[in-house]
Amino acid sequence: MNAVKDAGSTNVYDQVRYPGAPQPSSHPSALSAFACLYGRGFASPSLCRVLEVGCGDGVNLLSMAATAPRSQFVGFDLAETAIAQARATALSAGLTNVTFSVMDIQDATESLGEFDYIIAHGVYAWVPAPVRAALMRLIGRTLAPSGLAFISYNAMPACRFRQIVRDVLLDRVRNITEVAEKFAAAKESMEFHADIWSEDDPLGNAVREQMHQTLERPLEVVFHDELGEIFEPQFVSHVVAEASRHGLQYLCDCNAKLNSEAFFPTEENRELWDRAKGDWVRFEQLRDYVKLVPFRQTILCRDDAVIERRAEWTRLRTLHAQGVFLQENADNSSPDAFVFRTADNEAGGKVSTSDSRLAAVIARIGAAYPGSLPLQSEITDSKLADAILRLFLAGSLSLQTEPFAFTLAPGERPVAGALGRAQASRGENRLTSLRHTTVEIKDAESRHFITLLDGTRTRDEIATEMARFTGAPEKAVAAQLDNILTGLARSALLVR
Amino acid sequence: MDALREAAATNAYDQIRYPSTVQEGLHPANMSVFAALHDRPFAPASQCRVLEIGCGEGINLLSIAASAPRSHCVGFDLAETAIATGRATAAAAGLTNVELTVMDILNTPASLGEFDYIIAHGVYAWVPAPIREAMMRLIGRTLAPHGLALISYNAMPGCRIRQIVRDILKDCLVDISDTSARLAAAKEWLEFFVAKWSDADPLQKAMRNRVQELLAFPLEVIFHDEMGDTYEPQFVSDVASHAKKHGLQYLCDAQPARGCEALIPSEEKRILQEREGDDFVRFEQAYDYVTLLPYRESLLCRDDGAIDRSAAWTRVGNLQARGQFAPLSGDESAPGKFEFRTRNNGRAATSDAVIAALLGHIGESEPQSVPLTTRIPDRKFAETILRLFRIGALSLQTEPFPFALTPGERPAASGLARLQAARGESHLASLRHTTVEIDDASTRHFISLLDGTRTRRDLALEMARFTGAPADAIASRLNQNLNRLAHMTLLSA
Repeated sequence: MNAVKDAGSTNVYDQVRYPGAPQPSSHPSALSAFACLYGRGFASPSLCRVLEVGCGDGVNLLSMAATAPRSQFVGFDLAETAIAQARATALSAGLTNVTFSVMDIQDATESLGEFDYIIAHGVYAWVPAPVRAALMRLIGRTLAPSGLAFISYNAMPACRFRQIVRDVLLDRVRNITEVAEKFAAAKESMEFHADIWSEDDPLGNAVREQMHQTLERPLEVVFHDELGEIFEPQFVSHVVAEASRHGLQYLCDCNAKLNSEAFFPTEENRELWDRAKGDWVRFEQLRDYVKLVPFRQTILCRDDAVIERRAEWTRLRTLHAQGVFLQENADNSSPDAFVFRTADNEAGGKVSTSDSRLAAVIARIGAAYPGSLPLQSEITDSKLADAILRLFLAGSLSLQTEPFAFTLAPGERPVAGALGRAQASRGENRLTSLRHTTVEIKDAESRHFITLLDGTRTRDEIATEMARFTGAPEKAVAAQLDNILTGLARSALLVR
Repeated sequence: MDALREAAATNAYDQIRYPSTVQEGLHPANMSVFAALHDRPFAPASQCRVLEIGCGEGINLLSIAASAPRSHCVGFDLAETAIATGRATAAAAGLTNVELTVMDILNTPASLGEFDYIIAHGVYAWVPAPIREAMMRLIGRTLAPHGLALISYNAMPGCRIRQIVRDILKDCLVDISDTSARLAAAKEWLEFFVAKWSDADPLQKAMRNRVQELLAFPLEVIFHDEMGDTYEPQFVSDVASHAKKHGLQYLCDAQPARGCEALIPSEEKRILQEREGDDFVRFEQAYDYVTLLPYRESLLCRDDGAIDRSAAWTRVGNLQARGQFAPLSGDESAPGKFEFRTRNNGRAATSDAVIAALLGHIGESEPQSVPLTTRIPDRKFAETILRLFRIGALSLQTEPFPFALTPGERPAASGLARLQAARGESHLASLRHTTVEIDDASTRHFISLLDGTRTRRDLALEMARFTGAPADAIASRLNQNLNRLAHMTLLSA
């Protein structure tokens, strides 16, 4: 979640590896969808330059590089072991469009060049103020005229609750230097405290909730976040003020739901909006006070024009929509004729409509999944556009400016994405898909299977090798082969 | 609970009158209870030297001075108007054993002397680190060998939620400089957010609850805590280590609900003991993590040897107890139980006839305190007394307070209370360091007359003139009224 690399003297990221993962919201194709919705220009994700500051083991950047072979990717981090690993992964995955270096944010200069997309995920709130200033300065100097920068951070004031969890855990490990011992002590303390606060006490219950969330995170993440040297959650208004000193302005948050008010103002938020006196950032800050948003993914752009925050239906037509929609029989719970089950549990897992044209578009988006549907010919009027935009803002579907390239129909000599294949051959159980997500592959057999998919083997050869590997009869393996390949294809792991 | 005063660094306290009150418990006779319970020597409350750091208008210190005429009280504050008010009050109340000075904590003279009791209420967490440092250094320098210092502060991590309120107010009031406009806007914004926060979300619910509590306080409290320049709640373990650097050690918390761990361990103590071992400060810190305690009153003493935290119940015998214990009649009480109505409409019950007799005696003696010297035959007795103390049903002190229960021919009220009454204040300082509320103007006028120069006859005539009622009627109620005031411990011997 929030890899830090700081200018600090200790290199804790060399001691404990921060588990890197593709961050879907930071992909140029997702970032630029917001630029598009707000009517701003952007560089084509398939032909652009991307910088990741504090890239850790590079998984996010490598995954992007794999999805955009003609784009150039640059990543740096202060942790030497992480960069060594990133380079090794790039080499074994055959990715030549990405370079990594060990570097301090404070030493980074314009010699890096200009970037269309700059990503700093899990850095800003985990470094001291001078490094934060250096990061913003770097973005100000290297962001291209129509560039987009992504900065994620834990948000104030909500994270003061999380700081209580940190207080408790830091105190518990205060005299421990050995890493494994720290892990054990932190875990013990989390488990001890998780249920000790009373649910009847509102503050106790809030902290209890935070501790339970902490317990669900991987210990490596807790090690760097809750036990890290620096944890300075930020107010969105402060981040924007800092950005404006470097010629940058706030575009929006990558969480689609936080954008809803910009396009479709609600009565519920009218009072907040009035109090913000027409200042969008002020509105978002006030809303953070109300909603206590704990995490932000802020997109910044050049401060060159006023951003138009309104729905312009034709903008939707240049985007691609992606989402899980399974049509169900209309039931009594909905007066609408068309009901779809979605993957979004928060929204109740269902969307419904009485509009047959909209239902047809939704059905086609569902049919395209895990691929995306170009909206160019689907969106014919503002009503349809608004409906699709509302689904996006509710979190039921995602939008991107370009489709991802992977196959749903693997051929005679199937090929898995080189990055996923490299990860599988290392025995990792979290593989990177070709649509910039993480796919969990727990069993060693499937991982071995994936390593074989380098395009040199026919389906029969693969079956033979797998039979040898598993000891199962070749016939049985062959019979399942198409199923397995289809499954991997639907996870967007296959190139062809 | 956590009303706080003072901040030495700014003169924000010159702008607005902080609700200065007598803080029950912040008196040598009460502070020394904890020294006694831990078998530590202490100076007698009736003859000691007291320092209050950041005393504001000095009401707490003046009340100590009034209830301990042979003790010497020194107070200082940076706010000039507060000190001027305090001095005027002391002079008008005829208190000659109290000295109030405008002084910067960073610049205290060596001539200040040594003190048996040092009180710093509402200062430590409201000043920046250099002033905290100066304060602890001053205590280390001036605390007598058997001295006790009390430092109150908002506690971490529980007060992180109050910091959120601060975050919001700081931001929302950024353009408003006028004090009364700030207060009005603060109230308006907080009410706005209370209406917006949803109980369905745990964090929002916690905020809603906290701010609702806050809005129940006088707005002035928000002004100094949530809107003050500095607000740095402290961890008890950090306070204890800070004290250590200056030759001091942590004794215990001075709030009855927190200070009895040595003799009657709390539920948390039992759970946390094995995790934290025998280090008492570690336990206190772990307690704060578990309970998210928002406020502390830490008692410090000289770091001159280990504190005996053994459960020595005999120490309770060195104390005096007072409280209301009105026996409930047989019908109201469960069979085989002796039940009492206690202060604030509480109840206490025991099945032990001897303990019941003691409680009955304490109740009958109210408002006087009962020395427990010969009345604690065993551990069970001691524990009962401490349990009642812990829940606030009775008070403990090391000495009786000097008030008169049988007013004489020329009755005299405490000089301080008399002055407050004459000023029309409705909260008067009693002679046992509590606040007594007197709502009606004629009673306040009556109190203002009790300066020891008037006979009962004079009083009746003056009150007749004041109220317009017949002098005979007033005279016939005079004794009853005087007794009522005596019972409120407003009359001096």
